[in-house]
Amino acid sequence: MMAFIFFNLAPLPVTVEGLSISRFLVFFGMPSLAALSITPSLSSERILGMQPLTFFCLAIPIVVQVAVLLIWAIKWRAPD
Amino acid sequence: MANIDLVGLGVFAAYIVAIAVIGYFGARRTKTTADFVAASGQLGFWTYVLLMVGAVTSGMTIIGVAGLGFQSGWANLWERVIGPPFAVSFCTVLVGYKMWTLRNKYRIWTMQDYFATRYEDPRTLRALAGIVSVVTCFAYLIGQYTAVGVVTEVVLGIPYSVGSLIALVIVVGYVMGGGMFSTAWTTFLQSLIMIVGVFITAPLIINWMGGWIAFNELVSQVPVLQQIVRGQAPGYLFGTFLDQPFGPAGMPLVGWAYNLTLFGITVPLGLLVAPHVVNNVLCFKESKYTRWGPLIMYVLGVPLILGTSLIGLAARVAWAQGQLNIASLTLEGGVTVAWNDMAYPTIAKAALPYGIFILLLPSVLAAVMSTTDRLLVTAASNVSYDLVKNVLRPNTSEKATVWINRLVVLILGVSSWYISLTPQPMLAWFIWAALSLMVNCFFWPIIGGLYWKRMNKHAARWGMLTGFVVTLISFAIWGKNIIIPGVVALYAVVPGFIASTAVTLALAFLTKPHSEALLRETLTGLFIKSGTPAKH
Repeated sequence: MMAFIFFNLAPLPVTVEGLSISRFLVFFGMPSLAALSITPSLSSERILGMQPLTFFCLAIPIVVQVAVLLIWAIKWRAPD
Repeated sequence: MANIDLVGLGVFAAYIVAIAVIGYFGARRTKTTADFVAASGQLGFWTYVLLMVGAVTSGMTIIGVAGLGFQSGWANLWERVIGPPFAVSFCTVLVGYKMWTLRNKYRIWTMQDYFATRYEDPRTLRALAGIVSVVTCFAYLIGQYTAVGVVTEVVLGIPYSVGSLIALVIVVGYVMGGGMFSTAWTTFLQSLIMIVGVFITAPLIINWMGGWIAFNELVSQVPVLQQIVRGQAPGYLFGTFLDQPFGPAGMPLVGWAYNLTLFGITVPLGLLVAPHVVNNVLCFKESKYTRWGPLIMYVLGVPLILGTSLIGLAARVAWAQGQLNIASLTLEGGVTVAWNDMAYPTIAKAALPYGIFILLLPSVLAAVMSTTDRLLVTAASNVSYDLVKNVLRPNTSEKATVWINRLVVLILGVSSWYISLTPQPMLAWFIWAALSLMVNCFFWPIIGGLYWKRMNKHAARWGMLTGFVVTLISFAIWGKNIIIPGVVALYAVVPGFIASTAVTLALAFLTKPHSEALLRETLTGLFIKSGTPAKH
């Protein structure tokens, strides 16, 4: 689920040059998704200066928190 | 004084006037103690959301987080992932939702009101929590002024003491006059200025670096660059960890154990239960604000703190390349600002067009004032409302209480400013120490009080006291780091956290819980939404 959310959201910020998400997707065995992502030619496997593990340490907790807060909002009901 | 920037001074003056006008209208609205302490629970949605963002985005966030980004790069990313945005969002979910109902039911205006109700302890625990809160807010306050000093000197060229004194006069003025209304309304403007300021400057600075590709490439080259250009070892200032999520356990600041104790316990949990944050959740008008408010706070807060840390990291790269020289700043009176805390203003001065650069001062002032005013209101409420009106002299009139508030704001504001004129360590350290006290004193009484039926007044009283004393002793003995050489490095919050947790759990299990009727009435139990009991 998390991977699905992440890889579907990932191409959005990748339009900013320099975010080597396509190499990322190849790295994680998802070359078909990599081909779909919009990425300029790159000479680095880093994103914003982060190693792959670092990027995931940043991205996954953020996505999880956004998902939790989104679910909270959707399921919210007024206090009794 | 000869190098004063007149245009910058004009921008500074315009900002101050705008804040003063808003503060004046807040003062006109303030009539009662409830107005002063909690805006009588009348804040609207956006005022509340930006109040929460502003309350945790302090001078430390703008200057200190950039300094941390400069020093350790991504090795402290946890501060951005589970830091202030996490705290305000989940405070609204975990504390605000239940508190809204309790506030309406019991007229709860402060965290201490909640303790008095939940623990049936209207005097001892209220007084203890009030005193601890004043001390923690005071420590937090002192850390704010250095940020003002940095930017007034760098941007305007006016002395630190003058710049911070002007900020002090304005913030004390509108807090004395308008209490929570002035604080919330000025924070609305201040938060917008901060957010726009960082969102504009971060991409401009990256462009100055040569764009995202260059930045991306260069971060990995910092160890080599700093060796060739600066003559420093690759590992100097955590150079080899800048692109990693953490370092080995034995390293202070960047080690995983240190990250866990500082950014896994101190910052997120400390802010989650900080009096100036928890009291905010008692100020909004309608319960429906707890629906989308947390998500919006998070979505605003994360880019803000990430952008600031990117600016710091960009400064590190530029320094390693030799493009930028960053010197520590010695202010008058011998106050020395650590050179990493100069990362943001230095790179801003080099990289930004002049018209944008002079907006840096209002951005930092906004960050400082939006936190300072909330801390002042909280500390003043603790003294006038919690200690004087509810413990020492219950017959104190409304009018007298408001005037006591004003007097306390003045005393705390001036005394914390005066102390800040003596040398301070790295800006972030001082605020983290205040957060250590907050987490070790208030985490169990608040979170345990809301979600655990066995939590009682004995556990709350002694857990709070133990956390306070052990934390102070820990910092006195070890300073900020507890290091077992070659094994592990921890932040000094740990002994206090273990001690307060142990005392709280032991007393909660050894003494009787409060009556079932009280627990039901105070919505205590392992559920968030009232009326939906926990699954056991």
